[in-house]
Amino acid sequence: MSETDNRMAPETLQAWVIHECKQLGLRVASGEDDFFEAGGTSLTAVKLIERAEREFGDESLPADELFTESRITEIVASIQRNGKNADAVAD
Amino acid sequence: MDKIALSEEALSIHQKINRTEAAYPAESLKELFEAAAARRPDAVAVVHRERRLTYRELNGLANSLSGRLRSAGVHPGDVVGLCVKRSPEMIIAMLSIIKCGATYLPYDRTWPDERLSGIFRQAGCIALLTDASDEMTARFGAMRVVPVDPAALNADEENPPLRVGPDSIAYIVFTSGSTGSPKGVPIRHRGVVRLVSDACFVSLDENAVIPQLASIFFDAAVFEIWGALLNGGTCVLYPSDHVRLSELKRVVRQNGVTAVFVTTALFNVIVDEAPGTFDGVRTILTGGEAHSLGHIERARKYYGNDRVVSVYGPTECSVFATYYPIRDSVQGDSALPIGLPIQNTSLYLVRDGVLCAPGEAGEVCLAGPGLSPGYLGMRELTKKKYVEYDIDGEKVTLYHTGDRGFFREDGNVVFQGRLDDQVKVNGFRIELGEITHFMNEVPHVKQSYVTTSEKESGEKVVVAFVVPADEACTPQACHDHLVRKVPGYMLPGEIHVRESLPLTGSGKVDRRALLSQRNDQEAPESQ
Repeated sequence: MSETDNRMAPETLQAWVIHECKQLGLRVASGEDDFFEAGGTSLTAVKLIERAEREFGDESLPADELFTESRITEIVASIQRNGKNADAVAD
Repeated sequence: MDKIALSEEALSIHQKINRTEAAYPAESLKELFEAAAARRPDAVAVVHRERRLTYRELNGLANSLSGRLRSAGVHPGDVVGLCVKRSPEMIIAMLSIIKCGATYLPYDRTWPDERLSGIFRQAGCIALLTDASDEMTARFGAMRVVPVDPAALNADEENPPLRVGPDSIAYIVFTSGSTGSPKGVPIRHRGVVRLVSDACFVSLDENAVIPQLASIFFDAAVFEIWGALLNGGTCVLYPSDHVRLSELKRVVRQNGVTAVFVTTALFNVIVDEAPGTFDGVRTILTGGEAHSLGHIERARKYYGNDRVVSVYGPTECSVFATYYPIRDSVQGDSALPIGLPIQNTSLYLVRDGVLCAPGEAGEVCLAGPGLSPGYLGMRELTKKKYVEYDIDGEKVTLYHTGDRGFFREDGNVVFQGRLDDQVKVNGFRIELGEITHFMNEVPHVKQSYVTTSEKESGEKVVVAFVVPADEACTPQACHDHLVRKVPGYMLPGEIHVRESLPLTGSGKVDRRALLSQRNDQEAPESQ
């Protein structure tokens, strides 16, 4: 359970989002950067959503939220709201 | 009529690959769908989330809505705009237009007013059938707007008492045009029937279960919908606006999807991120852009031989024209072929009026019942692109695709790029000249150059370079102008302001130099 809490902590989550975005070829450095302004497209969105779901469970990053609130900090908040804890992910 | 010159060798390879004739019904979508409904009334025609419509229910609702359309004054041969979000009502609406003997014109509500008004005018559209009737009435006051209101529909078993000829127009798709006006491509019933009858590139019968993912203004939707419904199979409407791989996987598994079409770009994402999405699918069709051999090979290794089929075809030839099933390793090949013509479709490679032999490069030309009769209201362009020739004593009308290719020894055609500046970005076909046209209209722009490039993520993006006429020329000003003129998929992903455009030794804009500078400085984004 403590591992879950740790993974869902905002700083850890933000580091994860930034890392994944960089891997997808986006120019992001801080929480204030915007996913789409940094070069994200609908296809990069499909990739990020898939990766978030693998890590934090089904529907942990709803597309509708990503398309309307696309700052890194907003993405982090969305995953925090919608992500499931590790026990739920494990099934 | 021009005669095409040919050698024995060239004639022989063309004869070999063009033995594609197969029997297909000389009937329209209306008759074929109604026959499927009569044959399999209790089979599931459409699935959307928890909702399932049998053929009987779907046919009944479509009859009911077509009665409303006819009362609203829609006659055979009329053009009706279609704007309904992905739902059973979208299929009901499409069928109801077809059942009037009318032509459906699919469009997206996000397209700018000016572009839509132009499209409606060009197509002679007399009414809009939509689930957003308030919005459409507000935006297009002069048009007759017919709402799709599911509550007002009842099941009407009686099919409309009219026959539709196979040469009437089933739908019109608009594609980008280099002069600033989009080109309307009308497609005959025959073209669609030839696509989904006795198909050689995928098994289509009453067991077919096909997901509907494409936007309806994208002609892949024609395959997804009519491929299922004319064969008595099931069309599964994708439940959300945005594709999510876990959801797609669930749709595939829960419905026992047998065949799927995805654009090249989405195919690559699935191969990279979650190939298991398509576990259990018998045939994965993919196309829209040139494929990467690496992705194709990885997919083949994962899914096995003969599961992935690359398909190619311009809108002008009713969706798909050629196919290339991945039967073996593609490692060591130089490019993935676009393959061989599908059933009832012919392909010719022509260079300067001469038919190509294996190894010679020429323009890909297509023929057969899939051909559109020509661009709406563009007689000159039609005459240039659809040309009747004498080939070995036979009269054949060829559509000049503008794609270049050559024959491999085995007859498979390999794509080699464009003869003009048409590009594909995320599966969308764009004439860069059209974006340049609108960019040059911006009052603050003196000159512009539009091209494509790859992002660091490997995705293609439209990049515009503009030379300012005055200080008010900003990327934002250009973007704001274009937003009112073109659909979202045509908007440049990057707009850069430059004092001048560098030229090459031959006086052309130096694309390479422009692109190489673009990452040196902090790129101003278009939004």
